[in-house]
Parts: sequence; structure tokens; C-alpha cells
Amino acid sequence: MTTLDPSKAAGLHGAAGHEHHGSYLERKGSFWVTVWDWATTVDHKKLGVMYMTAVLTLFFLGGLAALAVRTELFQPTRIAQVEVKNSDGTVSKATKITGQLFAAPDATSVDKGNQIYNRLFTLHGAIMVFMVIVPGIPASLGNFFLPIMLGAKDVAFPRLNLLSWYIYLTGSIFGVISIIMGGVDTGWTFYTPYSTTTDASYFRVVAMILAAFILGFSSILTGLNFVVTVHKLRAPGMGWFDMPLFVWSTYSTAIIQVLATPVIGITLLLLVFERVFRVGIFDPALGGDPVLFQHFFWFYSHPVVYVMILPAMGIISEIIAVHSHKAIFGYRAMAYATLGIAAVSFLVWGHHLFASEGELVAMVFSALTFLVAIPTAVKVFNWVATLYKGSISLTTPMLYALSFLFLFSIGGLTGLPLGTLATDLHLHDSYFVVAHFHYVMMGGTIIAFVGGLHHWWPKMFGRMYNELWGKVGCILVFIGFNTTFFIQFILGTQGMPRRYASYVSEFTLMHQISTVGSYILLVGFLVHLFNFLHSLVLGPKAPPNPWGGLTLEWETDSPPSEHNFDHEPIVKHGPYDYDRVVPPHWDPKDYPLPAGAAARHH
Amino acid sequence: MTTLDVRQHGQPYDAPPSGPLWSRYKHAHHYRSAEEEFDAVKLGMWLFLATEVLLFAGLFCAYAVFRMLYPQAFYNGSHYLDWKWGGFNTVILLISSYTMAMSIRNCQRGEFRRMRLNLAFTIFCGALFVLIKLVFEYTPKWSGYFFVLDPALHHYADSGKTALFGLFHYVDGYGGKRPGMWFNYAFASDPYEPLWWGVYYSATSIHALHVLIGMTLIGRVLLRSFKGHYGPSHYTAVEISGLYWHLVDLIWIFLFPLLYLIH
Amino acid sequence: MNHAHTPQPAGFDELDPHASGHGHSHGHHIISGFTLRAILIILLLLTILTVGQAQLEQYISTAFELNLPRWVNIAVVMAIAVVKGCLVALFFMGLKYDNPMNSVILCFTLFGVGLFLGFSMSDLASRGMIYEFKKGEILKGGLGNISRTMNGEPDPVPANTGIVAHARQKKMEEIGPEAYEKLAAQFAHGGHDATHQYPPGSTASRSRPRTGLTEGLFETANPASAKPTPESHGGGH
Repeated sequence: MTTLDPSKAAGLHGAAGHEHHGSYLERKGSFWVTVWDWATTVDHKKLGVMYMTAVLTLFFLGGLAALAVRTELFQPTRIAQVEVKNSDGTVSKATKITGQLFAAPDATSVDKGNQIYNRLFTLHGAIMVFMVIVPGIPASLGNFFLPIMLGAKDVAFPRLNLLSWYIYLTGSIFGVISIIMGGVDTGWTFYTPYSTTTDASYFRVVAMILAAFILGFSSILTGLNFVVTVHKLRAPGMGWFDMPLFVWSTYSTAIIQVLATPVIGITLLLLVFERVFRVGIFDPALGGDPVLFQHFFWFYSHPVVYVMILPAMGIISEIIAVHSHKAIFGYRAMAYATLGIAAVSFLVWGHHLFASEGELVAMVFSALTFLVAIPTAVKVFNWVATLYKGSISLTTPMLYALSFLFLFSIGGLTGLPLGTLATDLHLHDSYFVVAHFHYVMMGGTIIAFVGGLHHWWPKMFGRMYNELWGKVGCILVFIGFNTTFFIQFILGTQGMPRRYASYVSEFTLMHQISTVGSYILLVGFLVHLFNFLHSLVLGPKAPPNPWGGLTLEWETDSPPSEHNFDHEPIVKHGPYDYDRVVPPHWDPKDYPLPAGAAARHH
Repeated sequence: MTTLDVRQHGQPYDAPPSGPLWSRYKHAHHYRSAEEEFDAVKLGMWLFLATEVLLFAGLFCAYAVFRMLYPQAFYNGSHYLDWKWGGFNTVILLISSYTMAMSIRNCQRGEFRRMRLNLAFTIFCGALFVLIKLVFEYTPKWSGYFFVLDPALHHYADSGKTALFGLFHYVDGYGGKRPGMWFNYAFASDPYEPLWWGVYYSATSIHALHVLIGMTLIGRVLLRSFKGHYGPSHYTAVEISGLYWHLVDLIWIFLFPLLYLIH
Repeated sequence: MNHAHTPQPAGFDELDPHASGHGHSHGHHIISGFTLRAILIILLLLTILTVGQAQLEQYISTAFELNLPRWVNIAVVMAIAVVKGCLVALFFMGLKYDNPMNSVILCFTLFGVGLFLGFSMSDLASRGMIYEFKKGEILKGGLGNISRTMNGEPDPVPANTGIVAHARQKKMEEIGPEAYEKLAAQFAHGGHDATHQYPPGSTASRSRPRTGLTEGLFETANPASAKPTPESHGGGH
């Protein structure tokens, strides 16, 4: 069609009726043609699926590093003098190292093993933060569903989207190169002077820093794309407060990504300058200030904590509303709380520096930190209120949402003693902190991510997963997670510092419980992996709207067609108007509501 | 579900080839109108500029913190710089910003020859800026070699050592104003001067990099303008390249007084 | 439903849900050539003004011994820069005629920059205000014991010397004290105490003792009070 006159266009196509497009997953020809099609695609759905694959792969890689760390900690490292029988029958004394996983069998020093341990926890942190959790939800589920939920054909800048995928790949490759070269032992935060002095003769640290720098660009471009998409490409009839909450949270996330990520860009660039040219900005030997690096780093990395958690909160809002078939309680409060969290996130970075910054600023930051609790609590309250008298279907996504509520609340509440100056000085850099941020990042973000995957899996791939095995996996993950990390709160308060390869004997039992928990966690995730793979091949075909959702993605086919909608949708109802709208394409026979709920819907 | 199809599938350009490219441009398929696309692209560019401002914020922050801690070193530092070169470069960038703005105006009015002239002049100004920075500012301070035409050269005793066929003259003791560990300028009076050079080189080199990126963007626009991509009804790329260029100017407007004038 | 869909106002256009067609017909505003030229001229004049005031301040300080407080210079120069920046943003970048959203973005960004600078600086400025030890210890002139090479070879700067002092020492050893004196007279920041002779036209040596916003804070770091020995000659303020 060539006309620009919308009224004519409407008439024309209204008369022409539906023209049907094939699924976005349809093959375009031979194998290599299909590969090329995927590699050069500007379709946000394909990019979302590719991101998802990469993120999950890296998640397993980072998870393996974590398991290795936990295994090393199964026993404390001890150096013992033992008697060894020589071949000629004499007995001589020798040094033997016990409890060290990575030591060579004849090692006499713990240094080597400890260094490997340092590299492993850095690897775990860097991969999980920069390559998994930060891009995870926005780039995979966000990319896939943000435009569809807005009723758009694509994101605002599809080619930029492709570019940011390749930037992400490049960054990840830099990270992998650094790992292959032997890994980095600076911790994922790259604090100076670790990052400027260790491995001085190698470029591993520089490669890892550049990886984070490049990944930052990918994050910026994705965020920029999302902001413009939300501003410009909402379907007719969709005002700001008709947007699903997942869109709200992805939008807030995108704003943070745009505003915070450039600062880590310049920080890491200066760090590279520091390392290669010795400019001295972070080097006290030249009058620079290493704590300034912490300021620079956390100006980015604190808001990014909310880049990690906000999209997760969006997913939870969707899951809870859809699976309890009830309007979200306090929609506007939720939207404002989302924006509020994004705004406050820029004011509180100093609480990561309580032990190193000046007291005056620490006090201000401590006071500001408690502001975060308000919008967060509003959200948790609203989720619980939504559940109240809802027609709850205990599907796998819903189980994940309930786990989220439980785990995230623990994670959030344990943040309070860490935000209090006096208690933080006791708990700083202890296992309490480790447990706290794992409850938020993993109990929050990863749990919501996996929940979201289950929620949207039928839509993304047009296949149902096995509900029973989904639930088994969820329960295993929940148990494994709590076994691994709850005990670490206790370890932390008793004085176990983070990032140590060994510990006093009193902590042995608690460390062993934690390690066992991490194995259960692995089993849980493997169950999910096989369940997903199984569903791709043998899963029953998914209906367009298996859960009875009201947002626009449930109006499309499963999987959606190339352009998402055959015709541009006009939004006539809010995203959660369950009390007055019958969900489209919904057959309650597929997934029946709990008894008594049907009456409310018909 | 009520449906309404105002978004079109397919190519952003009209099918029958008639008229110059810009007049046939409609919009990318996922927008409703060219107006909407223009607005969206501009919004995206402003967001990108926001990231650039925050990128430089790191450098400004480093400057501010160390100026506060070591005022004497920064005071000395700004006196090593020649405000005349800095001022000249400021004027160059301001003029180039003007020609860039003019080229957008020309494009909107369909004055294509003038547009190309203005674009080319803008690129020329950018190149001049980087050249002056490199030849007259970085090189002598770093190595002690002055370009033969440098007016500052006759203030100093020429050591007789030259390089590059006599184009560069060496002044003994002048060079070595380098950042951090490479600092070996023998006449510094403040112990923190290497730090000043660290900030100076980081800020100006990253800015110069942005000048180069801006030149590349404008160069691309210039090349495509020969093929008739831009005209009164479609000049998005000209506009956003212009925005980028103005931002580079904007940053320099702040860097110039901070580095050269404040004492 | 607290977010129930409100009935659309009468003027609602389903094809243009966000009224994108109304708000910015000036998306395609053509800025007049006169405005652009006027702005350029104002910008150039402001550039001259800002350079001029810096020169003037220097001049009255050396000629009349009249040292204005440091913040005067900073405030004037930055105020002019802000005005210039606003002009560029409003007219060259077209914010004046543009969708207000773009201005909002810029303002938010500058607010973010303010937060970043404000908090970071106030920490660095207030370090050690309550507990002295938090201030840390920085050896004047750096520790010197940094590794100059990437592959960890022995460090050429002796420990506790400092890079600046080391550079001075090496030059003296290289060319001898007399030649060093001669060069120092040419390059170093000297001040205006009439004990120094400068080559005519040299701008590299015009300076005067300044101690920063807080007078006397860095007194000990200022070699001005020290006796002019050859070592401290370079800093003979």
C-alpha cells in the first residue's frame, strides 16, 4: 500500500479482511538460509530468543563456577604434617593439604588453590551480574514481549536492537577470552587497587574490564530502544496507565540503564587508562583516590541493582494478576512505585561504601537508603492484596511468584540492617551480605525470570511444558535455594567473611549444609532445563491464551506471527480488567479455574 | 478485537521509482507516519546524548574532586596550557556548530549545494580541531618536539635537534608532561602535577575521540546526500548527526574554561 | 478498578492516540538564518569575554597585587559557560522549538550529573571530619613505589621519592646544576617576585601563589615558604 492517508488505509484493509502471516519460528528455507535469517534478523522476537539462549547458557556457566566455589568450601583448608612411608620403608614427614579442591595432589602451599578460588568467585560474579542478571530479563523477555504488550510491530529501532545483540555477544566473547587466558581474581567489582595491580603482566583484567564496558553499551542501546518504544509505539487507545506493569517496570529499567550505564563506561575506561597508562586517578601512589573508584562504580552499580530487580517485579505483577484472575491491586500505586524505585536508586549508592567513605556522607546515604523500603513495601503489599480472594491457579509460574514473594521479602528485610550504619560495620563484607544479595538477585531476579519463562513459554514457542515436572523443579529450586543461602545469614552474623577460601572449624557444618543446598539447586534447574527441552520437541501445542490473560500478547497466536498482529490492535480495556472482560481466545477447559471462580468470569 | 491497519508492511520507500530518494521516503514499517518516526529517532538521539553527558560526567567529577584536593597542581596545570590554542579551537568548534545548524536549515529548504558545502566545512573544522590538538598541544608537551610553525617555539631555546625533515624542533626540558608513571618533566613545582596530566589527557583525548566520531557521522551524511537521500521532507539523519556534533561542541564549551581558564 | 479505562474525550483520534500530530508541528521548524548567525556571534563574543576576564584577573593580580578570591574566577567562567551551553542547546540543537520531552531528558541528565558530582565531592571533602583516620594518608608527591613497567621489572623510581622529585633529580644528574638552573628559569612557574628573569613573551611562567578555595589549607604543600634551594627552585612561588 502506498497511501499515507490513515482513514483510507483503514477502510481499505478493513474491507480486505485478515491476511494471515506465518509464525516467526517458521524456517525460511534450507538450514543455512535459516541460520543467516536468524543472524541478520531485526525481529525483536528472534532477538529475544537468542538473548534468552545466551543468557541461559551463561547462567549455567556461572552456576558451575558457583558450584565449584561451594564444593571448595565443603571443608576448611588445612595444612597438616603427615608421615609418609617411602619406597625403601623409611618414614619421613611431609606437608599435606586437605580440604582444598583445586590444589594439585602434591601441593605444599595453599596459594595456588586459593588463587584458583579467587578466580572462580570472580568468574561467578562477573558472569552472573554483567552477562546474566543485568541483561537477562529486559533483553530476553523484555525484547520479546515489550512491543507485543504495547501492540507494536517491533521495537522503535530494530536495527539498533540487532546491533546491541552483537555488542552483547562481543562483550561476552571478551569475557570468555579473559577466562580462557586464566581468569581474573579482582572480584566482580574490579575494586582498585586489586584491578590495577594483580596480574600486572597480563591483559586478562583489561579483557574482563573491556567485556563489562562493551556489555554496558549493549545495555544502553537496549534501554534507549525500550524508552522510545514505550513513548512512541503504544497501540491506539493505550494511555500510560493502560500499560501492563511489566511494561512499566521495563520502562523504568530502561531509564536506569540509559542514565547509569554511561558512568560505568567512563569508570571502566579510566580503569583501563589507569592500568595501561597509569594516569593515577584511582592510584594513591600518585595522589589519586581508590575510594573514588568505588563512588564511580556504585553510581552505576547501585541503580543497576534495580535494573536487576525491577523487571522481575514486573513479571511477578503479570503472573500474579493472570494466575489469580484478578485485577492487580493498586495499579497506579504499582506504576508510581516502579518509577519511585528507579528515582531513589540514584540516591543511595553510598551504602556500599559505609566502611570506606567519610562518616558524614555515610550518614546521609544511610538515611536515604531507607527511602527504598517505601515503594518496595507498597509493591509487596499490593501483590499480597491481589492474591486476596483471587481465583488462584497453582501453576508453575504462580508457584514461582509465591516463592518470589517469600524470598524477596527476606532479601529486602535483611537489607535494613545493612543499610543501618552501626550494624553494617559489623556485617560488612560478611556472608550476611552474600546471603542478602543472593536472596534479592537470585531469590528475586532469577526466580522471577524462571517464573516468567514458564508463564510465557507457551507464547514464545507454541508448546506447553509439563506442568508436573515444572512444579517439581520449582519446589526443588525453592528448597535448594533456602538451604544454600539461609544458613549464610547465620554464618555472616557469626563472622564468616566473604571471598575466603577457608574458615575456622566451627563453621564446617553450616558450610556443608550450604553446599548440599547448592547441589539441590542444580538438580532443580536441570529438571527445568529438561522440561523445557522436552516441551520444544514433544510438548502439546499451546493455545493462544492458556492462562486467560488480558494483555495484548495473549491476543496473538502462539507463537506470534512475524509482525505480531495481523492488524494493529486498538486497546479498549485495561490490562487487568478481569471483572468486566472475558479473556480473548480463552478456553477454560484447557486450564480450568479453581472451583467457584468460573461464575465470576461468565 | 477491533482491528485497524494503518501500519504498512514492506519497504520504507515508495515502489514506483520517480523523483529523488528523499521525496519517496515514507517511513519504516513499524511506525504510523514519517512524523512519528522522526520524533522517535530524535527522542532516541536525545537519550543517547544523555548517556554521552553522563559519560563525560565521570571526567568532570574526577576533575572537580582533584581540583578540590590539589588546587595548586591544577592551577599550575592550566598554566602549562596555552589559552590561545584552546580559544582558537573553541572558536573553530562554535563556527562548525553554526555551519552544521545551517546545513540542516539548507536541507529543510532544499538548498542541496549549500548543505553539502556546510557539511564539508563542518568536517574540515573538526579535522582542524583534532590536528591543532595533536600537533600544537599534545606533541610538544609529551615529547618536547614543537611543530616548526608553533608560535610558542620562539620563546624557547632551540636545542638544534629536529625530527620529520625539520618539521619538528626539540626544546630541551620542555617535554615529559605526561600522565602518571610516564611523567618526567623536570621543572614541576607541585607534587600532584602528574595527576593533572592524567585528568587532562583523559578528558581531552576522549573528547577528541568524540570529534572523530562526529566527523564520521557527518561524513556519512555528506556521502549519502550526493545520492539524494536527504531533502525537505526527510532529513532525520542530518538532524541527529547535527545533534551529536552540537553535543561535542557543548562538552568543549565546558572543558575549555575548566582546563585553560580557571586558575 | 482503580485504573479502569476512562471514556475517551471527544477529540480522541484513534489513529493518533497520543495526539502526536498536534503537539509538534514545529518538529519541522526551520530556524531562521538570522537567528543562527546572531547566536554564533553572541557565542563568539562570550568566548572573548570569558578569555578576557581570565586575562584581566591575571593582569590585575600581577600589576596591582590585587588577588580576587578564587571563586570569583570560577563562578564567572562557569556562568559564561552555562550561558553558552544553553544557547547551543536551545538554538543550535533546537530544544526551543522541539518536543519538550527532549528538554526533560536533558534536565534529568544534568540532575543526575549534579547528584554524581555532589555526593562524590562531598565525600572527598568531608573525609576525616569526624574520625581523623578516615582521611587516609597520602604522601606528598606520591609514594613513588609504583611499578613503571607492565611486566613487573624493578621500579626505577626509588621508594618514597615521588615521581616529580625523581624527574627533577634525574634531569639535574643528566645536565648538571647550572644547566638545570638555566632551563628552570625558562620553564618553571616562578611567580612575580622579581627575582626571576623570564624570556620575553613567555606565557609559561606567569603565575602567582594561590592556595585554593580554603586559604592556608595546603600551606605545607606550597614550596613558596621554603628556602629556594636548587631542588625546590622549580616551585619558587
